[in-house]
Amino acid sequence: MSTESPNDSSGGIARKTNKEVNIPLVEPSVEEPAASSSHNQPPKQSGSSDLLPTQYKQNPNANIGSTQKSASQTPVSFERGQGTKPQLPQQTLSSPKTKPTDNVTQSEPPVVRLLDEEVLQKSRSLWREVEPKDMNDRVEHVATDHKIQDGMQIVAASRRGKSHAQDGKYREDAFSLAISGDWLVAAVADGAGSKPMARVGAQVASQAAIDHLCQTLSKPPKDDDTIKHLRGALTGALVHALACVSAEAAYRGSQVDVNDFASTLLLLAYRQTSGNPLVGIAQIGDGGIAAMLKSGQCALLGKADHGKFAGEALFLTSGETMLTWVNRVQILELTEPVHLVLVATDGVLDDFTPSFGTLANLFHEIEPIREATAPEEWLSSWLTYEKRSSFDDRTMAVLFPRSMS
Amino acid sequence: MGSGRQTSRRLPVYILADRSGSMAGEPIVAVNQGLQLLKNDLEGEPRAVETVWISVISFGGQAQVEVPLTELMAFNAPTLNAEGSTPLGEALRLLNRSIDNDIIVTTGVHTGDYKPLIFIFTDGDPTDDWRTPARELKQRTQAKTANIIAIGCGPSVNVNNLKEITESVMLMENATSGSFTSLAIWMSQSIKGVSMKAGTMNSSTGSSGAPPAPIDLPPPPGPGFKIVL
Repeated sequence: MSTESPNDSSGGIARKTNKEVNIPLVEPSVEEPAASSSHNQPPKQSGSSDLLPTQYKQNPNANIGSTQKSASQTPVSFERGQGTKPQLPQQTLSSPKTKPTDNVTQSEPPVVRLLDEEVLQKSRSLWREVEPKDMNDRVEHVATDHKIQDGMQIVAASRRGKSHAQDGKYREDAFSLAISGDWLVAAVADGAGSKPMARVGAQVASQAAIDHLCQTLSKPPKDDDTIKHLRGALTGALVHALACVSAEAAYRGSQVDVNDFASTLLLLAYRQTSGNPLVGIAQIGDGGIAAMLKSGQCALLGKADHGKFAGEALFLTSGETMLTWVNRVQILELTEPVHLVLVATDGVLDDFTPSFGTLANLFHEIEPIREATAPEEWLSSWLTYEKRSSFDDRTMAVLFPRSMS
Repeated sequence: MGSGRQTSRRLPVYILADRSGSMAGEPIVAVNQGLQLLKNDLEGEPRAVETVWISVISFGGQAQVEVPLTELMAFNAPTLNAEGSTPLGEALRLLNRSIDNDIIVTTGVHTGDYKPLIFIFTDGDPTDDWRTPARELKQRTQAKTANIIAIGCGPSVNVNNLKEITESVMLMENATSGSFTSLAIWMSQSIKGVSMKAGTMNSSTGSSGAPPAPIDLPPPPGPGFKIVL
């Protein structure tokens, strides 16, 4: 989903500063709740699920801090399986499967498919939550935060994924939120999975970026040019994050290398003034930053990053990232107020878009956060949704207007 | 490329099993038991349960797809019979065709399957034209669109042939039931290892791309096995 190429579609959601470039609409307006997922029934309760840690079970009776306005009230089970229409009769796990046709011909026997729910029933009995043995650099398995500033609020939640729980590892995602004068700022980072100090890298990078953003944005802009000021603040935040991560590596001695602290980094800075909202973003690596406007239009801001070779991961500490800071920062003046803005790691984003739905679907799923009395708890709970093949750490920051009481 | 969309990301595993005449008796029985053991062992790992899909292609006299790409919980280990020559080339052709048909490639717009893992087991020289499909297959490893491991068993196997297919070659001394048990567990550990990493690695390990490092394989199962460097 590229937002870089200008096109002529009218109704682009933003004007890029200093240029009249319309960000092309990438999602249709949301007229009504997305029909693609049928979340009305709770998943089947399997007998063995009572033995499991509760963190990852769907509890349809849980009513965590949300006032009930929308149809999907509780954190929903992200069940795509019910939508698939296999060619064959569905078979449960207990019944024998079709035997493949015999060896004479080369025609392929029909493939037996199972519902995702049947597979999840099995894996539910296998998932464990293991406490890490490493007592250094401990990170809580769940973290939340919530900040309010006049008409806007920003909420974040981050959870250790099932895979790290299974292996007795720590959460490797991190985030930081802050308010600086008129600005609401957020940083989200995903530590590189293969690196031992990834969790430290993510924590340091996200906090350092926010420190720098706050420090810079709290000063008045030189020459009264807010756009340049914001661009400088975001670029500086990336560089400062790298400097702090490098310093951390150096501090820990010659046995470690700065690459051990690799992480992605996504930044958001938002200011609502009398005019249109001003949004600044910066991104290194995967995950994404997206906005839904009041009219329902959705778009990805910035773009996910891959290395030179397709699929190669790119990090704050990657050599390739150097000198590309300028290209990674984007300033947007939105043409209408925001409804929701989110910053998320791939652990969440990849479960929704582009492969398994649209951005609009994702925004619809998190809509209830706007009316929740404890939105950070709501978000933290929503992040426990169950989806097949999705077991990475999940982190999201959400910015939205306060409903005026 | 891959037919339509899946509801979740898959780790496709292809197993090419030699069932030529020389495998008759204890070896083929052990292979069949090994495949069952592989399934049972994988079913203990939740990441494998959710992501692994398996296909078995056999070659002996003829080559055929015994089991098309099937999710682990629905996979039934086939019962192979040993007979005939060693048409490895035909099996490789079937494999290439399967990969082209089955695998959903990651594009800019759509995240596809994880990089397929392919195990090729043989106990002797191929008896058909195998170099062409082998070259096509090797190109996939070079383009980093698949991980291939060849396992050669017994004294008649030709290591150089296997090296033409892939850099990762392991040799098995004997075709005993104990060896196949060890091999099956080793394969299961390899697959589990990939399924564990796949779900938390950054930036898509889809089949059109790759993490820069090759996959970590567990050490060889024991005495009687050696990795060919």
